[in-house]
This record gives sequence, structure tokens and C-alpha cells, in this order.
Amino acid sequence: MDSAGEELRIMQMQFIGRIIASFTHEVKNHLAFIKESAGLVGDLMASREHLDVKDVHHTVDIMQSIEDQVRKSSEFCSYLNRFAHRMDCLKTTFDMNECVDDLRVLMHRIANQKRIVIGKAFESDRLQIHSSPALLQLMVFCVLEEMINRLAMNSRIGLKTLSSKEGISVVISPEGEETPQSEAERRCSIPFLQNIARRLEGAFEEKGKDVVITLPRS
Amino acid sequence: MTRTKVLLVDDEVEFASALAERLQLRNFDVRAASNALEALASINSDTPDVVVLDLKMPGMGGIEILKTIKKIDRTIEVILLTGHGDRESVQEGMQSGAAEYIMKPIDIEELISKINSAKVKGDKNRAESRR
Repeated sequence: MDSAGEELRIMQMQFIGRIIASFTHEVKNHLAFIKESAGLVGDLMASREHLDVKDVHHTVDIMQSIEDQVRKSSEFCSYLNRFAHRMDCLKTTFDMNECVDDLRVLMHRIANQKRIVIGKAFESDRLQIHSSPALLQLMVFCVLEEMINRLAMNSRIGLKTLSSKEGISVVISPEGEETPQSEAERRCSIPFLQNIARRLEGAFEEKGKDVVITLPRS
Repeated sequence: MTRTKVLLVDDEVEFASALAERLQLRNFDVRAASNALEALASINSDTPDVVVLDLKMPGMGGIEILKTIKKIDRTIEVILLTGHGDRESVQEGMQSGAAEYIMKPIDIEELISKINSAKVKGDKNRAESRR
């Protein structure tokens, strides 16, 4: 494998590792809540000789919140499942909005460490594209991670998708105070990201503070 | 017999609320805080015996909060709450003065045992510092 291919492999592994670590952290928190809530129901039953109406309502509320949390956890697992299946084929037909939004959800915890919100403003129509969803997500991840690192707490990053004659674009816009980062501090260099975009016959451009990734429809 | 005062610091509010209630049923005097600001305000208004502190929190993280607590009052004992894989952070926390750590999802009896041990340790340190 040549050095460019090796670099890509390493970046992909690091990217997948980061996503999985963040996911497991999130799910552990979900499980911790479910375990405590279930334990609390047991404790309430054990602590009272007779349950009054207030206790019954309280117990019902706890059971409902357990059910809600299980539903949220299951939905979250669906995001990781879709993320994993993006890597089934090198190129496939997929919806750009869904692909980018999946990544946005999976990166929520990473961004939330600095209370940074990743907002979305997607073109309302389905944006079908035939390309590599895994490589697209890698590029978007690298840009988002770099922006999260240099933005101050409580900042915002905008994610927009739009369709043009050139193809379909993802526009990533940081909003907030920034600490400049040197090229050496970036996980993924600009030339590396531009190379990936070229492999997909697309473009990776910096337009002011924004980053625009454009891919052809097929 | 005075109840052990516990401050729970975790940004997962619902988890902290359920855990607080379980500890209250076991006769602990429990407060909860969801961030550093709330935690430090709570400590300054009513000093806890033990703080149960989540390591990974948005903004001011667990380690920084731990160091700040120790500067306010080194006799307040801190138990770190952590997910699997935070070994380096746990090590840093223990080196920064944490008494113990426990992994999520927690075992309530294990947590209570650690809280009781930490309380004893804190009482001993307070007694020694008064001499």
C-alpha cells in the first residue's frame, strides 16, 4: 500500500475509533440511567409497607422514563448501525442529507464537551448521490473535529446541504470565537482532504471560514 | 446520628436525580449539581462530606472541578464516576486527590461502601487538621 493509501487507512481507523468511543460513552450513560431508575423502583417498593397514590404515580413516571430512555437508546443504535453499513460498499447511492445528519448526531457528544451545537439547514428535497458515503463522512468529520477544537465554548457550527449544477455540496460554517490552529495541530491536513475529494471527482474548498465539499451526483 | 452529606455532580440530570433519590432512601443527605458552577456554589453554601463527581462533563471537566474542590477544602473527599476506558483520566484524578472511583453503570451498594469509607477518611483528616 502506498503512503497516501496508508494515511487514508490510518485516518479512517482513527475516525471510526472516535465515533465508537463517543457512542459507547453515550450508551453507557443511557444504561446507567436505566439501571438507576429500575433500582429506584425496587427501592420504593421495598421501603414502603403500603404504596399510596403518590407512590404509585411516581413509580409509573419512573417506568415511563425507563421506556422513553430505551426508545432513545434504540434510536441511537440505529444511527451507529447506519454508520457501520455506510462502509459496506466503496460506492453506493445514498441520500446526502441523511448521511451528513447521521454523522451530526453521532458527533453530538464530542461537540457537547465544549457545549458546541452542530445545527443543520438541509435542502428539503432528498439529495440522491452515487459516491462513497464513508469517505464523505470522513471528510466532514475531519472538518467538524478541527472546528470544534479551535472554537470557543458555547459556539455553533452550521451544516448546510445544497444542490447545484456542479453537484451536491455540504457547507460547514463555524460561528464563534476561534483559537487559530497550526497545520501541524490538525488531524487531517487540507491536501489530504483535497485528495479524498479528488478521488471522488469532487472538490474540497475553503471559502473564508467556511468549508465546502462538493461531490458530483454520479 | 447526623446523615452523611453527599453532593452528586453529573450533567446527566435524570441519572443524577434517580441516584440521589436512591441514596436519600438510604438515609444520605443528597444534593445534585449538573455543572461546575452549580457544584461550587453548592459546596460554598453547604459543605458536603463527599462529592460524587462525573469525570467527563461539558465545559469545566471533572479533573478541574476536583482540583478546585481540593483548593476550597482538602478534607472534602471526592469519588470519581467514570465510563470504561477513561483509565488515564482516572489515574490523573487519583493523583489529584480523589479518594476512589466507580464505573458507570454503578452498583449502588459498592457506591455506598465507597461513600462511607470516604466519609471516615474525611472525618479523620478534619480531626487532624484541627489539632
